[in-house]
Amino acid sequence: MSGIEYDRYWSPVFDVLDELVFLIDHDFTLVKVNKGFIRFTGKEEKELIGRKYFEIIHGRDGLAPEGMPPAIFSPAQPEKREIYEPDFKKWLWMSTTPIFGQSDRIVGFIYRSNDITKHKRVEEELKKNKEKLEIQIWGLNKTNEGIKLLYKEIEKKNKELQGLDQLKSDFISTVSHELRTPLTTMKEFTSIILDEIPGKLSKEQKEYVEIIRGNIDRLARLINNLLDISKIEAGRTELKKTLVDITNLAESVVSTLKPEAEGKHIEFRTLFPAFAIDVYADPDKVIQIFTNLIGNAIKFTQELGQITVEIIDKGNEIECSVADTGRGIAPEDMGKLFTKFQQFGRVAGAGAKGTGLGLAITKGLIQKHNGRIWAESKIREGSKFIFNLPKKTEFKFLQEALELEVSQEIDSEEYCTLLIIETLNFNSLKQELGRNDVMRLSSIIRNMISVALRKSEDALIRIGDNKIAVVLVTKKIDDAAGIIDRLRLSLQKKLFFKKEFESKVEFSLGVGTYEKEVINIDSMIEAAGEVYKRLTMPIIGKREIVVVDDEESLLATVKLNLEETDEFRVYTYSKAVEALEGIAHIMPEVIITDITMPEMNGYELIGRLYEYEGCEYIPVIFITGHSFDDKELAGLRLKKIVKLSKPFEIKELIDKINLVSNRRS
Amino acid sequence: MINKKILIIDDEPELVKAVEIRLKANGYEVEGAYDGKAGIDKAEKFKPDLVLLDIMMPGMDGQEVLKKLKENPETKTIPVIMLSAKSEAGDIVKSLVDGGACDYIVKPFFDGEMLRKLKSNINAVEGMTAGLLLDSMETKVREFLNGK
Repeated sequence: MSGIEYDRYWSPVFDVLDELVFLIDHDFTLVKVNKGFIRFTGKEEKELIGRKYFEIIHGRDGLAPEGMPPAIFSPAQPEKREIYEPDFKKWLWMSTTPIFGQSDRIVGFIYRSNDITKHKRVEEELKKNKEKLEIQIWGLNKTNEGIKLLYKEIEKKNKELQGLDQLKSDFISTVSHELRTPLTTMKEFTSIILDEIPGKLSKEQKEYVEIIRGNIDRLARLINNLLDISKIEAGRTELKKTLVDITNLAESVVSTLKPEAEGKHIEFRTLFPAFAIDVYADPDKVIQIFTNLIGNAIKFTQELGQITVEIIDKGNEIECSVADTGRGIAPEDMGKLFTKFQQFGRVAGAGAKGTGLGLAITKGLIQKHNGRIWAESKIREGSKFIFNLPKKTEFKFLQEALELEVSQEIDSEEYCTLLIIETLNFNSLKQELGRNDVMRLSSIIRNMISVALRKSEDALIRIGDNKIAVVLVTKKIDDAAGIIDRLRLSLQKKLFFKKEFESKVEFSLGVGTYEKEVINIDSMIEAAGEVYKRLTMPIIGKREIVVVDDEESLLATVKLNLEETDEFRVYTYSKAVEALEGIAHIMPEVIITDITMPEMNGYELIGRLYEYEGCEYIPVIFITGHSFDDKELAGLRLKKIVKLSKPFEIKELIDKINLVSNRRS
Repeated sequence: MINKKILIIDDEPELVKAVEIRLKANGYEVEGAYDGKAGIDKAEKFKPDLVLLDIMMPGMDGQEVLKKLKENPETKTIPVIMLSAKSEAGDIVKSLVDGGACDYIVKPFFDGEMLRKLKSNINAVEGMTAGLLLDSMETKVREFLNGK
């Protein structure tokens, strides 16, 4: 093979390439080089041709260190590899293809080569970066492990702390138990002595024992306060929040403490808004707050002073204040007011001694309600304690309460029903009855609801005095329907509330039922907010009683005597058959019936009543000549029945009526 | 009127004594027991009209005693008032709701509190026993309904 044969093609084909191309013969002598190769080596063409290729490329005598791999002699594919060129400090990608002559003898090789130094550098860079990254990742992993360890440690500590907290809580509760136990015995014996059960006391003896008892009471208060403050500090005070009318709570505290204030001729002024102000709070705790503040005011106000309790609706929050005309608090003491065991300006021997914890507890309770308390005072002019509590919308309140209720039940394959029962004419009832009686009425209604639902009053969510929400969780939707029906019936019963007061309670009942899996609290509240049924419960002024006896004279006596009390309205029947219809119509509070009667006897009458809806719950008093066999008694069912033996006094009869009556008055 | 019988079960003998004195002075017949086991025995033998039962006692505690009393047909109708020096609501509600106690009194007692609660709970029971008459009466009513 001679170089001339290629000349015609060589330059136009290979010189335009950026690649390095060269041809060697079987002796490794360079035969042809392209311009790329010349550029790369930086030598003249004539300096290159005829030289052994490895002298140029590798600058050494002999073959490339890697030698010629066997694959290079195979015609099928070119051998490719990357080599480093130390003379030029460059990386080359090289492809070597053998050239075969006659009888498959290798006559030379053609090389194509690329300068891949830049790639290599990038690659190196990448590699370095990768290593760096790997190191970083390793580091991160280590850190992670460290964090995990730390987390475990924190968890452990947390558990320990919770344990400690529990321990502290248990400790406090145990200590208070241990302290109260001997106190109980002491108190019982002192009051036995004071009541002169073992014998008469002299005036001095009585006075001294009274001092002992006063101090026992003080110690008991101190223990309760300590327990309170510890619970607050440990964050273990549980609030049973409902929507309550704060004016109402404040009023009840004022009326409780009024006698104490009147004893010191202190005048009470209350500045309350005309309308109810609902706050979302724990009523017991709010009462405790007012009792502490008003109690303090009474304690530190001299005779003929004045105490003003004020409640202001400020839109988003309500502000309550208790101001007195007492001695005031020195400016240097103001900062320590709400600190534990701080007592200021106490007059020796005056009133019940404090525990120094009242204001600290008060502050804790207010903070627990997300409120604030502060004080203003001028020495010799008086002090004013002001606190605020946030208001809350009914919807938001229900949302929170429901989330709590619903999350408490874990089983999801159940139905969740929300009932909202509202007394529609609450305000007019309030005007008719006054605040105290309307409160009594609403508590009777709450009680009736909880009885009908067979749920304790705790399970009812009080939205206000006139509104109650109930969450029912049932396995079947029919169960909920049954419960609602029972409720519906009992909210239509007659209610004996107050003598000479005849009116009616209008209810609206709203229902929202959802499967627990798809429950949507907002839409449930909306559904229950709509009126599903309107119900009317008559409030009757007189208690209605039905008396059945074949003895007309007895009927007349009972009617006369009962109605004389002004409390009862008596319907009498001499025939059980007639009584049946009458009872079903009147639905009296109690049925009084003789047992032995012609045609239909007492048992039969009561038995027949089971056929009338609602009548099965009417209590019965049997009037009888003979006595019952008490030994057969076993359990109480369905109806309350009481016996009354003839002859009887009318007072005895009234006692029995009150005993069996389902109504509370 | 026959004196009502009260059984007090409390591990503090001196408190038991104080309650005995107080209740006897008010016309009650009183028996005391200082631990749960003795209390259950006495409840069976003495057949009290009402039991005052302390919650925190060594050995068998009040909750357990209440359970035993309510399981025994001889004693299950006797009303039980729990006594507790722990004012935590949890304790009280638990014993009331789960165990069938009818009331509770927190130690130390308010003046007159025990007498008031004894009276109202024994009265309530009279109402109930009167109501219990029903079972025999109700059986008769049911028989009638079933056409016998």
